[in-house]
Amino acid sequence: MHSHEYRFRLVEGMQAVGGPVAVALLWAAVVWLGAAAGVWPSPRPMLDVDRTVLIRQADASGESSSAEVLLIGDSSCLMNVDATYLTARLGAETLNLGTLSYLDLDSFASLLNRHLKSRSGAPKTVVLLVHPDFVRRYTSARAHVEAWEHYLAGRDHWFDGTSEWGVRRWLGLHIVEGRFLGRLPVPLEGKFGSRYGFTTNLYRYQADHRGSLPDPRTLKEADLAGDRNYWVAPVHRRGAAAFAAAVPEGSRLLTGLTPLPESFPPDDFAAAYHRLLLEWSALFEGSSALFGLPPTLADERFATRAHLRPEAIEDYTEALNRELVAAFSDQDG
Amino acid sequence: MYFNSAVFFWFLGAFLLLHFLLRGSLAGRNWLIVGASYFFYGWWDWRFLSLLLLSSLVDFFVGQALAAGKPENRRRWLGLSLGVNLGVLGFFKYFDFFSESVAGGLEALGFEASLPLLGVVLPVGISFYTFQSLGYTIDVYRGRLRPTRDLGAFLAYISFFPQLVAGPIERATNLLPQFTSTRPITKDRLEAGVWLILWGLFKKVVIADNLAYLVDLVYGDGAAAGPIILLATVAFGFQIYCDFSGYSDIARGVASLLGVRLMINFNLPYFATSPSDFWRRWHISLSTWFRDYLYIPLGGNRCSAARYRFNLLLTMLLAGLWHGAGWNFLLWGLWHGALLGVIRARTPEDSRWSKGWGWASTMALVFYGWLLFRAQSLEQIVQFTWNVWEPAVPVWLGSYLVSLGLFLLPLAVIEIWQKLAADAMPALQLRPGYRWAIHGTMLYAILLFGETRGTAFIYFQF
Repeated sequence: MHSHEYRFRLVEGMQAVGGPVAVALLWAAVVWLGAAAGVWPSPRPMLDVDRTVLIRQADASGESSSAEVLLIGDSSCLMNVDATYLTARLGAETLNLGTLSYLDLDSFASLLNRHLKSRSGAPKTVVLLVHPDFVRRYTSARAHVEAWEHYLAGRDHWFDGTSEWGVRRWLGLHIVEGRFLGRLPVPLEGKFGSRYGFTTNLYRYQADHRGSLPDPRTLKEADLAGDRNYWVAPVHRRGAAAFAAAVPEGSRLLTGLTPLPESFPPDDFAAAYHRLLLEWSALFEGSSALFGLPPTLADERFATRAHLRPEAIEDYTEALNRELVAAFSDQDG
Repeated sequence: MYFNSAVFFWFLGAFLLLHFLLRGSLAGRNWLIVGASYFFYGWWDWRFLSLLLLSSLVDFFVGQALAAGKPENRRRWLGLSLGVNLGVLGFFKYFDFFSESVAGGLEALGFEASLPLLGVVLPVGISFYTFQSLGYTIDVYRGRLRPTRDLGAFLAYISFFPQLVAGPIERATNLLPQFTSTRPITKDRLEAGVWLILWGLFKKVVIADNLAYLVDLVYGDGAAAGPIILLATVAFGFQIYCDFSGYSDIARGVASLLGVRLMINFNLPYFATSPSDFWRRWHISLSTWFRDYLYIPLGGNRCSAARYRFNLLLTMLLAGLWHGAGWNFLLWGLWHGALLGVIRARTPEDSRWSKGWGWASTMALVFYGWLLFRAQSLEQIVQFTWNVWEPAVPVWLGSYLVSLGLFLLPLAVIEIWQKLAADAMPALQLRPGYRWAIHGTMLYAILLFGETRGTAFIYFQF
């Protein structure tokens, strides 16, 4: 390549560029080999709010527990109920295993199964608490379900389907992220950052608060847009059967729906809510529905369409407490 | 098209191939650079290509006129160039700011004011290429440079894509001759290019983009208090440094692959031991531009003490305003103007200040300046300045320190190495295996933290 403009040999040019590329590929090989040989720590990709909550709840479900009341559900269960307050009011230990991401009922069933395996004896009550948006949703978020399944299986996680992720996986970058970076404190973005700081602090907060996690955001106009009609999506039938089957003998399954902002649903929502809960509860064999929970609350009490503001959580938890006390007295009677 | 995006490297690969195919044709290569640069710029918004072309053509023909026209018309030609360039810059960058400020001032005095706002998008890089183009005209006017008759070379000089949107702001005396003569690409330039691109990307993608999260955590929270404000301001000082110097390094690296030498824009600024030392090391292409085209013509330091301080204040005020149409940038400029005036007046060259004290005090003052620069409002400046003394400590302070330390560690290691070796590219002195190990590790880290879309560089907004 010697000319009056290119004054280096082809091999020198290839070395200057190829040398670093070869070393980067060597790193990829080392990362893959270390993972295959079990040299690296296990995957623990606490890299954002969603995955931190998933991992925290997976860890919590795998820890020995004597909780008598088990709360399982979507993000509205996680963020609208204060398990510490409920423990004090009920006089019965309560654990909140609600998850932030769009998991499905099969994932809730696996969470419950995992928890039951790690404890001696069955909980007195399992409360399945979800938002009406969950009930009408036809699909779960595949990425989150996969993240959940991969973590429980101790496998490295990657989002499949894009060429970018294909290259990242090929280079073993997901292994480094999940096994090394995920163990470091990762700053959270937005309101979650201001309130909780880092992933490690978020994890600690949940551990200290029996799994509950208040939503620090404020309701936006966009949260109140969308379809205002509710129905039970047939896709839940199979997952509901799996979930009901996972509830052990001697435990009672209660199902409930969390509230909507009052300006969102149609005016006659109270009746529709009753029918929705009845239909939803019927999917879970042997369950009872919590009809006394409020279908709607004032808009200013919400952080998003599904999550309450921190100052509204105690009132809602009190309403749940009253429902559970009533259910316990029925059970005892 | 960001330097840290996948599409840029596809673009660069295609460009290098065409550049190779055009070897032997200087004019062909210059026009290739012009075409590629306009494509690169138009990727953001093709409509603003007209402004780039207008600025370039005005200064090209003004340069010709200055050389060939009547001597008594020289000032008019210079005035035309200044008017067009600064007019476009003022219109797009400052109109709304001044309109809002005047309306706010009138309302404060009890008058009702409803002045028009244009709401126009700021053309990316307009401050950079405008100053580069103006510098050419002023140099020709002063007789320091003979105007070029080669339009291709001139357009390539103004639009050269590696440094078009965020500098370095090149001088025509340095860059223009490189477009009118053969640009040899040697093994050393190739290796320097690889180092500069990788180190620049590392600073941007690995350090700056991660520090941004730490900064936003505090500056995005109106209620922040205590020493966390201090840490966030330190984080921002390093974020903006790694972001901007990273861009400059990538620009110099890409230029080096084409045989072009761009000026050094940053020279270990956080080792500075006085404010004036800091400005000899920080954004050198801008600080020397203001020195040569504004401060010295104002009289520099060869005048009374009062006039000298006025010159400094005015120069730094305008340097602050150059960064953006906002009161915080003006305050930042004034702050540095005051530091330069006061501290230089009290500390002559043979000062006995120890270097350690000089460094520590300079850093404290410079980083306070970053608080002014980063704050989202004047209220936040006041609030943070007071709140920093409160004894509040967030529960995540430990996590913050760990995270900050982790991302600053590689920067500290490399910069101390550069300082001790008195060499900006010390890795190039190593044997090839060690050099590749360092380059390859940086590459792996860039891929680990990078996003294929790329993230914006802070200085693009200026």
